Amino acid sequence: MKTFFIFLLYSSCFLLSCATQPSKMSFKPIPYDIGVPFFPDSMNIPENNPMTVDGVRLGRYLFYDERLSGNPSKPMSCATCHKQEHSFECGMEVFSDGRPIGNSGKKTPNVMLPLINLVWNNSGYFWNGLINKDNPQLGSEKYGVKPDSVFNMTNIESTVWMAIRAPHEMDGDISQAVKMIKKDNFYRELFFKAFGTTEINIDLISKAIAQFIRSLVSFESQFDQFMAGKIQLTESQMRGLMLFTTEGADCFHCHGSPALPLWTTNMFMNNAKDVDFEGQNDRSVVTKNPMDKGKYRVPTLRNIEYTAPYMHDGRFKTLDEVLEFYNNGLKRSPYIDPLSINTNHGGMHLTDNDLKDLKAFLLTLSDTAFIHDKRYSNPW
Amino acid sequence: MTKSIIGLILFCLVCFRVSAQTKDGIKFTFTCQDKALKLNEMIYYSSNKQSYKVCQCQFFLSNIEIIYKDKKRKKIENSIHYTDIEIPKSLVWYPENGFNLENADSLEFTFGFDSTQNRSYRFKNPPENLMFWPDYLGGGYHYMKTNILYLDKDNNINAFNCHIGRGQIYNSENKPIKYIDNDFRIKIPIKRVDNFAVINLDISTIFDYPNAVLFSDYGGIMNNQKAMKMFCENIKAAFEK
Repeated sequence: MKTFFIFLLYSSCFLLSCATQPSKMSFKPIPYDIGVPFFPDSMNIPENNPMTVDGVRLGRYLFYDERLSGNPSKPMSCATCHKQEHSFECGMEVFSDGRPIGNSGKKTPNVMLPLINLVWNNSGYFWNGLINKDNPQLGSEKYGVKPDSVFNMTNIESTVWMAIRAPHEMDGDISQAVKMIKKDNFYRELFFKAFGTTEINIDLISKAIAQFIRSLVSFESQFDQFMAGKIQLTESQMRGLMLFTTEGADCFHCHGSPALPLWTTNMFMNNAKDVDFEGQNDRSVVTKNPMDKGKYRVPTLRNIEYTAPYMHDGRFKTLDEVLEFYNNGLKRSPYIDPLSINTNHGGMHLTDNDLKDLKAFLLTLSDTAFIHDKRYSNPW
Repeated sequence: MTKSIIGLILFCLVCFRVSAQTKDGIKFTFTCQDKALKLNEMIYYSSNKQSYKVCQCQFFLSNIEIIYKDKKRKKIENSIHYTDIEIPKSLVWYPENGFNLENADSLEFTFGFDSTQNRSYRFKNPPENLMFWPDYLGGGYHYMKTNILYLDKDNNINAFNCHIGRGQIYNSENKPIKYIDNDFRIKIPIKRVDNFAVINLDISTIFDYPNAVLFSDYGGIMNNQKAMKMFCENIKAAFEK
């Protein structure tokens, strides 16, 4: 009888331990290999959140989970607005000005930036670089989030709690969101495999989603295939490349070249589209340097075909409008970027044929493999 | 025994401190019109009386050699150095294998790179990779980017970029048929401050001497070999000043 009780006790303990740690023996994180040999080595991955296969997998489920808003009556996930077919922007189908409306009914202050190749951005996220390694801010009075090291503003992880709270995004409740995710037993094993614990909190939710976002890598555009020697470009596309990478159009100083295949320098620049900067949420808001007025992060041109509307405020609906702006619409101000030499005479002044060639080249940066990649799609 | 160990540790610490203190390096400084450069202030005038402000300056130097008073030369191995006026850590350089400034007389280096070193795609990471020079224009990297804003005769603000790299010779259809390396050697006497040899670039000289520049004659100069050649003469003088 005594033996039976001891057996029962041990069995219970074993079963309980299995319940809290579903597969204790199986926590063997496998590093996630981004592996794009021709991209930079310097990736922005925080030391406390190395990418693992299971971390990215968990992040993918969470990214597409509408319970993240913590509000059953207003479900919303990251993917509600970050659509794969638009390079993880919202496009213009639902929000014609490219600025989504959050759960509170408020519009986002700027249009969205694509969530691609962000792991190579070391100079700050958002249009003005608010989220950056040197930002000391903890919490947000505006969003009712108390100062706490989890609620920092330093990297992609930070954008998760901000998205849950921001009125122009989920307008939700962080603790409710965690509760709703916790309720689903499906997640217990995923969290354990990703982080070696079945504890579910906002820190780990943020880390997992950030891992998934860092895994969103575009490197198979038509132009990439050309560089790999797999295909030829047309004469028009080649002429467009030539214009792009010379001071004729002078796009390359800000947007890169085959030698800078992210097709952005990730720098902050004033591209001469305004003369009045009153009320803009630009780089100067972050740096407090008045010379940074009108500066915004240079967006990648990868998948530019899918990411209309353009500029931080979405003022241009088509690529043709963008090209026309750079051709004839540049405006002088004391804050223009010193690289924008075409501002001296109001624009590039290219011919219609030149503009067609330039556009033909830009369209070679579309990565259809990326927007159809099943690894990035809704797993539910 | 304990005393010996403590003694040994102290000795090591003192040695380490002495060696850290005596490590020689190269420091990069910038002047404009003979005074320390003030970035982003519209306070300078070119010899052609155009008002300007300096916004950015980045350059590569390579193949650096120290020449000693006894004429012996010490080549600094793998010496390609990128300098960016806005990146403080790029303004002080301790070469990998070190060098000694004692009895040093002068410093010689290449502005930019020589033709074998100036290969596209050799730098994968920022900030160096941001200096790429488009393949159509000859490939490799900018030797220098100096970017300014200036006021024209109507007081309008304009941009001028002194960008130097590989030059081109064009055919009648305006297509490049030949490329020219614009690198050159510069020799300057050692100007020593503490444990540093100082390399100073006088930005105003780039626009004034020996060739006085009218900014409004140019926008960019990357496809203008004649202009790049002229600016190279000025850049040489700007380092030698």
